[in-house]
Amino acid sequence: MMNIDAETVKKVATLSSLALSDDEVQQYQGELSKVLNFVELLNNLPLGDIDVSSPADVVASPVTPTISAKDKTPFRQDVAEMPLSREALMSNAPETEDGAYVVPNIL
Amino acid sequence: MSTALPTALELAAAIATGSQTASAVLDEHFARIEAHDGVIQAFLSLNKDQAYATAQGVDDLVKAGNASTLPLLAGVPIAIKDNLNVTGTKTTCASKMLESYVSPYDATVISKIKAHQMPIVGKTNLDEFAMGSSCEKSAYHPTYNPWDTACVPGGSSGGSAACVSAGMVTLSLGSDTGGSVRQPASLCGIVGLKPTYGLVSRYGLVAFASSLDQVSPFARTVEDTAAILQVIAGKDAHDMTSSAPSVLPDYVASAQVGSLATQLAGKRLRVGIVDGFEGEGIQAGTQKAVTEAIARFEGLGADIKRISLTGFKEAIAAYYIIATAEASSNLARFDGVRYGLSERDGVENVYDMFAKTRAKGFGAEVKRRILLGSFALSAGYYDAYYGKAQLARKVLAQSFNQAWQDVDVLICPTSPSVAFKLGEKNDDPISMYLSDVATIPANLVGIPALSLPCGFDEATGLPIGLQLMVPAWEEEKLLAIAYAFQEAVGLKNLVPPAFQALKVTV
Repeated sequence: MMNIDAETVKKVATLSSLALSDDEVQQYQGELSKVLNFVELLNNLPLGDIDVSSPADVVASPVTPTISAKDKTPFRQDVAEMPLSREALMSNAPETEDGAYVVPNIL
Repeated sequence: MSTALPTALELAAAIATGSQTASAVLDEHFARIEAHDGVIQAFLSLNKDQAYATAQGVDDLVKAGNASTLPLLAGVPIAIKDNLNVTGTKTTCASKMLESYVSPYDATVISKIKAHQMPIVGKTNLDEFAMGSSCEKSAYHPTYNPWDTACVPGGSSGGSAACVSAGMVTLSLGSDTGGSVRQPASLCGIVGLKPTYGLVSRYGLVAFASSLDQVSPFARTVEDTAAILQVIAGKDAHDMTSSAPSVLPDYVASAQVGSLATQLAGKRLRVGIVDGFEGEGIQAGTQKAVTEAIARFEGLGADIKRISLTGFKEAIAAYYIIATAEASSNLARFDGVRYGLSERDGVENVYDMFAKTRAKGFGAEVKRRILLGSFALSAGYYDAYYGKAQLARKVLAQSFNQAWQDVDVLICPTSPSVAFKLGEKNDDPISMYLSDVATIPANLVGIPALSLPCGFDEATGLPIGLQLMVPAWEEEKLLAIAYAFQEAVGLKNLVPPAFQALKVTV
């Protein structure tokens, strides 16, 4: 059984930049434990002749087997294009000044 | 069984031949939206000005005698899931985080729809950031199933499914990451197609899980599904994972009488039934409908074989690690700096602003998935969870490849049950996740899969969907098989009785 503790939930919340209330920490502790126990069923999976030594290959290959076989890594010419204007790109910003984003103090 | 409402291709033909104007078609569809969306609540926003301008452009061409230059589906109204960017309109992803976000650009699929002069009527509801299977997790309101408004339409693309089902439009776009188009298509009695990963550009689709997401259409017939696929498919320089051929196949021609024989080139159709969809967890009505579907395929002269796919049942576990891991990374962009909600009151510094903005802007399901994804990627747990899930994906890809040696198509129910009641699965995330058990594998291995109606559940009267899966890039064969099945079973262009009264004239 995988039961994660409150400290782990808090640590993961920090990694996720999510402020959680104490109630939420407790709630997610229960829910994440449940999901992780469900995920344990992966341990029953017969791996057969799968090469488990190369995670990079594992990550790259299954998405679209035919793409990786056909195109390998796709490349394109590095040509400058006209992107959206600065005004359009910044039109949804909460706060801007002189073409820059304004945020609370960093240090 | 079919209804008197016209299909998308019938509307396009009426507009091109001048028997009906695009503006009048739009009038009638907006009238249906006004009459029915108060009950169904499929839309988050409507887009009347842009839609009428597009329709007028089509009518001007026809009036000037240039109907022959009209592109495919010109003048046919379409609805768009609210996680696809349309310039000048809101893209909320049904989240408070993006309540005021206005898109400064078009998604590639939207550019294509505009090039085909299809009026975009509005943006449809979804589970927040496409995370859910019922459309109840929208931050704004739920959407209701036109077949029974006490039931969910499925999700996450519930709004796009419900508006097609209720005849408010003939076509819509959704996105399918783990079944978010096929499952609601099944629950709403319509057709949903997830194309091969890469056939349709993801540029301008708000990312959830980038290795799984695919923009996917809804329609009420296989023919209309083929037509809208023709419009949106194609390689795109803005999406380096897109990789369609430079000249697209003629998908419309794939969904016609005789197309299956052409696709099979004289051979018998080989149908594989995916093992594991009998007994516990699968509704009796659904099992019965699938048994009858098998008989239909036999009637079409198919050879039937049972196929056991290693890793099919475990796929859902792998999915909830991979999809959440990718989501935790993709959703990091919502930090209150460049767009969306920004919590500035009483924050100590920028990091505090990030954490408080995200706490306020995201709903509980989104937070749960971000936390799970961050956990699976964190030091000490990566190999046990993310690494293991990627191995499961590899095992699954291998068992599919093996299956294609023996069969042309794999079939199973799209969903273990018909539409469930609102609130029924809200307390238990696992039970909600399990409603995607049949659809997730196609996303993990990148293959195309389609859901279409195969019957009705006697106990509830609700529609049941059949899922067809084929090897990557074989959309033509998939559409040909789906069309042949649709004609054999006789369920097409379904609209629930309560939504048939308002006519659309062609």
